[in-house]
Amino acid sequence: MISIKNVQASIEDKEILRGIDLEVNTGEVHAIMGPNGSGKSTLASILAGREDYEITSGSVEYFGEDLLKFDPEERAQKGIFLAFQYPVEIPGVSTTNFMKTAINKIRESRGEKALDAVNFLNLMKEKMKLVDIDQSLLSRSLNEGFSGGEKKRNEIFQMAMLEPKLAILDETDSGLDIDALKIVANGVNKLKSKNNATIVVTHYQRLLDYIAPDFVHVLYKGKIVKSGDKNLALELEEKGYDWIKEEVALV
Amino acid sequence: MIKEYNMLRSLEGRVNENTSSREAWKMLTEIGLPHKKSETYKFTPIVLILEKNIDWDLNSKSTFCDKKLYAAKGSHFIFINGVLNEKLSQVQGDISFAIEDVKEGRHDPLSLLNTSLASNELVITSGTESPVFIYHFNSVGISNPRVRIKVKSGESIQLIEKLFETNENTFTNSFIHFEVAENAFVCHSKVQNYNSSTYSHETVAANVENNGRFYNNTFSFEGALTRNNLIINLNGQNCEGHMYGLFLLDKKSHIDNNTTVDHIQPNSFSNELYKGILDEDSTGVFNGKIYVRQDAQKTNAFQSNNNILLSEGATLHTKPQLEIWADDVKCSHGCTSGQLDKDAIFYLRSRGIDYKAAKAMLLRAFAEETLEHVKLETIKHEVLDLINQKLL
Repeated sequence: MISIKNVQASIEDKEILRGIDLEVNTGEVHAIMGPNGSGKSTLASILAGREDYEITSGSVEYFGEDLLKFDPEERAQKGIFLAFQYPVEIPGVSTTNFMKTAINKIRESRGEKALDAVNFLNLMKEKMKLVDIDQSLLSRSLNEGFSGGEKKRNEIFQMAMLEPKLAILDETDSGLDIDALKIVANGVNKLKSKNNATIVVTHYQRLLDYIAPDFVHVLYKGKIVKSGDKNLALELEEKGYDWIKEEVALV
Repeated sequence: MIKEYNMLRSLEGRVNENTSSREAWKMLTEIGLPHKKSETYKFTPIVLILEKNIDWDLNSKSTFCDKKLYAAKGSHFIFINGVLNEKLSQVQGDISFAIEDVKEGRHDPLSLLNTSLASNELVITSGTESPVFIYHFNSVGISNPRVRIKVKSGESIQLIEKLFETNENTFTNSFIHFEVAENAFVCHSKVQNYNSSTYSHETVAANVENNGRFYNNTFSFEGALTRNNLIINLNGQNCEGHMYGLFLLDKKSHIDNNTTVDHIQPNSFSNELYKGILDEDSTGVFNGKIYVRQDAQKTNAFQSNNNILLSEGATLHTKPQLEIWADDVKCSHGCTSGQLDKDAIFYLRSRGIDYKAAKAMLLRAFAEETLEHVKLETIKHEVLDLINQKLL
């Protein structure tokens, strides 16, 4: 599905990613872990098309196309979804209106007709259940005054609405209590299918108790320094990141 | 000064015969029109612009067009070149009107100019029927429409004003005065979508008595130069003055909103929200004065002005001005100006919404807050349509 080759990226001349290689196929869940400042969020951001970063070398192929040449909206229209670590508050725009616009823009890009009001509402109702989100929250200004948990749930709700092929969850677990974490993870699991893939970016193994990854990668100093299965995450939980740092230092 | 003098002299022959007009003219020639160093016209040097651009001798027929009228029920008053045309006007229900001699008005230079040159004053007295529409179709060098609205105790009126300039380089200097009696309510709205050679100076003044409420909504889109002077005197107790405005400008449009609310007696409330979106080479000016007199204890007065600048060429001047003599009051003011929120744009784009639509979505949400107090759906739709037109 997506093939990332030797991607290097920097922001304001500061090198952050120093050659990332990653292959994700449909039906897979990949976890990207690593200490603070290792470049996890940068990787998530460049896949979604954030323009603050400069990609200095490497390539990203997505279903055979060069992903990097597309604008953020084109990537979304092609099925990429980023659940933000810090969802943006947008006064005056309700989640409902926002989602209606987004869905219809995506449909338009695929040559499909706009959803009518009835079908849109039915879709909303169905997806609201999935993340246990309240109608009143969706009528309010997008993320404005939402608690941390509500914001993250709203992200997963949006993901459910847009049904992406590749979902990238950027530290979705941060700031969540255990109940909210379960709800969010449950939503992600229900959306998982053999036709889509998920990249879970996280600092802690906690979320991986609920979203079982097929692969775990450790990102450190802008590179993937270790890959394994879910046992690697458990090992990290137990031993911390220091042993990885030592290993890297030895090499 | 020579220029101003010339301009006034060229108008002298048109000064009205009645005493108030003569007196106003005398006063005006003494104080002169606001020159470019005048504090209240600092960013809108009106005389310089008028000298350069207005064809004072122009004298053509009006091009009244009934298709431009709102298709809404109500009374319609039509001014042609600053003079009421009774034939074209239509009064509904128990709204009454009279044409009277011009009386003494405010003493600022442009109001004096209006008092001098207005041929008469339309006096509209409220009834139970609303809304009332006032249209201006102007095609000569300078038009001076003058209106007084009397809203009787316990009554209410919704007034919608609309101006059309049908020739190039015309100047409208309008004056509208509201007398809001006890327990009366006024909602005055105007949509200013002129063309790139329209110059206007529009004064709206209101005197509000006990428990009276006055709302003004001003939506400005295009115009070579538009100056709005809004003055609300809260003369009584428990009065309310509301001022809401949006200016969404591009090209070389220039708008200057100058508002004053004067709290004179205790327990009054005023609220003001102006929002600006400036693109291309447009200029926006906001000046909001709040006076709280010594007797006006327990006053609540709030003001805010928020602006988004979309281009390098756009200019904004904003200035809150609070003068408070009472000691037991709640007053606040704030102004912000900035650019579009990049993170918000990226957030919307990451959900499949293209840049242009994302920008329009954010700006529309920003602008729509100023529409909350517009009661008439026709106006709301007109403004929303204009916002969409400008943003998409």
